[in-house]
Amino acid sequence: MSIREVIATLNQMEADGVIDRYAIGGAVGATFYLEPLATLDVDVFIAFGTEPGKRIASLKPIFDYFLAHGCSMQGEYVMIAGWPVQFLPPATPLVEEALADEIVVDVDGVPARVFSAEHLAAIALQTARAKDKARLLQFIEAGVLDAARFQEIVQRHGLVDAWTKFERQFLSDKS
Amino acid sequence: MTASLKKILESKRALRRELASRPIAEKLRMLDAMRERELAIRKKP
Repeated sequence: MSIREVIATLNQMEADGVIDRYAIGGAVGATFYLEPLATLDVDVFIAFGTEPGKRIASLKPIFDYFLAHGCSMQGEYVMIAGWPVQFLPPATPLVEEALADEIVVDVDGVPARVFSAEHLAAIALQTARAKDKARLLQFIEAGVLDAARFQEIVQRHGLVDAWTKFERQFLSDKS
Repeated sequence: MTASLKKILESKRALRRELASRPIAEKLRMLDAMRERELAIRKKP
């Protein structure tokens, strides 16, 4: 069981042309910047487009690829190296941007594509479940965000009101 | 907030900072270990 092996498999899938681009998000993505965050699965965002021959338009080719490589399915998850991996199309312009601006991090010699800290924080602000708010606080407390870049993303994606509310709710009693 | 609670919270923050600063490969191995533990707990009757 190894996330490093999951990453190597994703790189191979990209090299084999099954997908155009991927980036890791969710708790595993956040772990690249924060303390390890317990999670049950790996969220992998993949480029979805309509360019003929370049990008896929459905998840079926991905599932077929993994089934042909001996992986099993569990519901919407593909089991890779003991981890349930969920492949997700970018559902919002923010996630599309996060995917386009992914960064590459070396994991013991294996390149891993992951969302930037600022995009992960903005996605948490946008998703806004209790666990997302907790994660956003973790990003802020850890001091890993480029504040100017984060604010640009917040403004670009119409999250100023959500940020103001979040600040008022969680950051105003810091004094 | 009492002084002792303040001290406990600061110590937790320090541990989180220390964990966050570890190499990414090590942090991912910790996720692997946490998942294995979680699966083992699920298997127990």
